[in-house]
Amino acid sequence: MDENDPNQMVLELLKAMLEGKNSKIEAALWKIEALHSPDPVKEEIIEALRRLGQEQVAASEFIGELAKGHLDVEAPPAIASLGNYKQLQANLRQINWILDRIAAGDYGHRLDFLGDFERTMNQMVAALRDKDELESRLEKSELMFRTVVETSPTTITITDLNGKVQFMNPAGLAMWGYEIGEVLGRDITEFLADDRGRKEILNIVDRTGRSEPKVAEFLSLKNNGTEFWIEAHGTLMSDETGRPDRIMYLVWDVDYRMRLEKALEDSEKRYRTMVESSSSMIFILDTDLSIIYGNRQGYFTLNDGSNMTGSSMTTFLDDHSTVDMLKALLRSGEGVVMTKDTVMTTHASIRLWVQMTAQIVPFAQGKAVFVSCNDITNLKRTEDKLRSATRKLTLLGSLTRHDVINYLTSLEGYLELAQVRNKDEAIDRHLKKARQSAANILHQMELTRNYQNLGLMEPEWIDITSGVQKEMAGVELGDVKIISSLPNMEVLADPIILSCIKNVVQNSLKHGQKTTKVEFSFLEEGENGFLIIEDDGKGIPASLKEQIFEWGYKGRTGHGLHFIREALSASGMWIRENGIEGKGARFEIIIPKENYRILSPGSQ
Amino acid sequence: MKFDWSDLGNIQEGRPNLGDTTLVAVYRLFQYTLRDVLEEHYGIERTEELLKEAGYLAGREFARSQLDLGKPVTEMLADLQRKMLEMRIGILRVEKADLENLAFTLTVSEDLDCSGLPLKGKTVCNFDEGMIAGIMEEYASKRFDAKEIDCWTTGARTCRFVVRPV
Repeated sequence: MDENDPNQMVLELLKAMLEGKNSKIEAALWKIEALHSPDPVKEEIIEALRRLGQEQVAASEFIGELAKGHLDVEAPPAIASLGNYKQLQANLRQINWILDRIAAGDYGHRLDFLGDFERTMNQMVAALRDKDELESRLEKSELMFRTVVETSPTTITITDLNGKVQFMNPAGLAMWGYEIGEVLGRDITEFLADDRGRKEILNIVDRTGRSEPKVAEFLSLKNNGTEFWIEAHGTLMSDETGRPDRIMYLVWDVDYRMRLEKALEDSEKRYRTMVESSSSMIFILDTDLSIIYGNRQGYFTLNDGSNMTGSSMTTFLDDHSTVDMLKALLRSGEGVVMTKDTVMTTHASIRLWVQMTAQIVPFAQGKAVFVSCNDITNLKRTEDKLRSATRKLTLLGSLTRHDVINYLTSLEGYLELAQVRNKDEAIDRHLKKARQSAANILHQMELTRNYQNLGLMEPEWIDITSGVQKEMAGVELGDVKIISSLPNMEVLADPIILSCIKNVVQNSLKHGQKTTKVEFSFLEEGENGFLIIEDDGKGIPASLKEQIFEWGYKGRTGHGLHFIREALSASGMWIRENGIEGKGARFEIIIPKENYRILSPGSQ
Repeated sequence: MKFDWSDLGNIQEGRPNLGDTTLVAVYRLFQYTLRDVLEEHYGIERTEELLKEAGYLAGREFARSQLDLGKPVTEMLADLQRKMLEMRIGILRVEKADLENLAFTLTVSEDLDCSGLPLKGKTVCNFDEGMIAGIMEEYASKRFDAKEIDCWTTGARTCRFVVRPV
């Protein structure tokens, strides 16, 4: 074989190309590098073969790199036969790009028109996207539940089936006063204060899963030793195979509620005892006045001890106005209290005077009437007797006074006649004294008349402002001026109060010596009102400020300041002198708040 | 810029029976006759520049009217891929991406301009080059260049573009 034979050289190149070995192709190409032929056709064949050989070497290197997975390899330019390989490279690069995007969590890219690759790739992307979304939802769900547990005000703790703590949320740690490291692994029973709780805490969990979760109350123990009440609810938790492996407890601090309930129970017991043992008759009436509840005293007094529930209270009331009062009370609502003396007739037809106090109270979802009745039958009888005795005494006093005054008049007449006829000076002095004594007896008789009437009149609302004006019209004032800054007001008192005020003014005129004016005013201070009568006379020495109200104080005339104080006292008021000697007297009538009312202007 | 997407008119209204599609041959008939006339008047190089410039204008309007430019670049490319498929422009694929520098190697298979053309020994998708650059420029608000390195007319089965900011 001649190695320099052109045909042999061309054949060697073709064989090398068929064999596909680049080194052989390159060796063959090197040999024909300088080969030329004078025949143009042969020359073109040689050139085409040379180019084909070179392209095969280049293509083989390119495909070899692709086969190794080196997708970045650059394709040799202008080799038409490599078109499909280059498209394959482009497709592989596209797949690689999509895989990169998937790795970055981007599932928005599709592979289209790539036969089997397209289906497999797009299915994989869809599956990964679903998985990723599922994981994302799971993550969000877990985050949500974790946030709920961490921020829940309810204590959540998880134990194993033997009660060893595996988890406790911040609310639990705060409630019991521990750090997380102190509770993990601890037995749940250690948080309980008594044996009953320690025994029952694991039993509140329904291990069959068939019944409703149980809730129970336990006396618990804080880290600092404080006992408090909790309410716990236990549920089994399962592992991924469905096998129960943990217990979740939800725990609430119910100490305040439990103590409140206990206090309420004690209070209810206390009040029930008080009501049951009360000597007053106590009833709770429905809105139709039927009896919902009555205490023992009520049942015994009105019904021989038999239960009266359901009976109408009206059957025991003689006075229709009392029934009307109760009905009016029901219309008025809560807060109003009504009191009335009335007559009740018992089951045994015994009539009783009772002082009834009634008010609306909340009851169940609505309202009821609370009625308390005190038996005042004996009091009423005593009052009647007292009234009868007073009437007799008044009559006796009047007759006696009438007779005594008649005798005194007669005595005065005889003494006067004796004095006219008497010539003896010593006897005349005795007669004068006797006449003075008779006059004193007459004055005392007048005083007894006033005392007799004191307290007999029922207190009534008296218009002080116009009353004072009227009383002053009947007083001989001379040059003395009356000045009044009284508001329009009324006072609940015996009508004699106006007479008392008049008498105070007369005292000022009589004893003030230099009085030029008398001034009326009123002021409120604390729980009292002060009706003030002051003058600009000589005033009263400090040492006599109380003496002037005493019975034996010299110079008393008419009602006298003693009588005035007594009269005002009968109406719940008091009088004192509070002026300055030399500047004038100042009498203050002190009236309790509930005994006066200031009227609006123009209501006079 | 004078051209606006609305200049394409209301095709639904205008072609109620024939619809909004036509034959690829018709499109190419228009492009390659125009190209011939332009080459005759302005020469090959200038014609290629003019086609690229027209593509750039088209790309910017396309991006403005058809794409959500507020999305991250990978999502925008996925949208572009879907949109090009939907409008039968070509099958866009991303071969390589430098997301930091916004440099890409993109391929367009079954390209509207060149797929199936005879070998010419040089690339012809000048309009595509301009269009890709216009889209990227509208998206990133900076100048881009797109260069076709493989084309059906150079013997490749898919057009390959190297895209990078200028």
